[in-house]
Amino acid sequence: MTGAGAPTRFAGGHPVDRQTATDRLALAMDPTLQRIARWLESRAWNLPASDKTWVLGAMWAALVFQREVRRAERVDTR
Amino acid sequence: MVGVAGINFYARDASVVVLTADLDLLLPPRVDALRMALAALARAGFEAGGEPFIDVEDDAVLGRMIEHGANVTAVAPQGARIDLMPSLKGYRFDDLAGDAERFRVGGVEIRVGRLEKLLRSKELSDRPKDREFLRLFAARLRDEVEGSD
Repeated sequence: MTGAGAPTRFAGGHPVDRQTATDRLALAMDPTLQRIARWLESRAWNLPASDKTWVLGAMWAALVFQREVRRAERVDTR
Repeated sequence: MVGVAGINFYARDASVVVLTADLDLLLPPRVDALRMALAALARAGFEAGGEPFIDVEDDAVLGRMIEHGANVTAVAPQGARIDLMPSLKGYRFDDLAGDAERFRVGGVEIRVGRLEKLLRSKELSDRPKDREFLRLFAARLRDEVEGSD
């Protein structure tokens, strides 16, 4: 069957033919990074609805620490 | 949530959280979403680089910002920075929102892009700082991941 309204030629064909643009992006990814990402996503601490309030706290603490280090570096120690 | 801050949400503990000066939030490319985000940030005391935000009720202005793919950086008096982003390298909002992970922060549910996609986006951006981040990220975790197989 051809023409308008006909099923696409590849519908239901080889899985590669059904890949989305996002799938193709993932295929080109560095395999080490991909393996790490999938491993981390499957860890118990990353279950859906996990409480991640501590992440914001840690990022904020690191930022404050860096700011204080910069301020300390400006102190004349001679 | 996307970017390095989003990647941090998958960290095991605070010892492996990567320092970043800003939180990247990906918004749906719609005027109402941008208006709502800017209004919420203004209520929380955020400003745009020392200036009050543009008129958040002006849909024409907001529409042009979305059309041009402009990032909006919001800064809090204490120094916290939030970047509102209309797009992320390699992915549209729907690509990320469709399978985003749902976590909780302070009792509120937030959606964080899948780690694989956030890392892939950094690969695609391919700026020197992205390459360095990915190199360190992989070096830090490679042995642990391979040792667990």
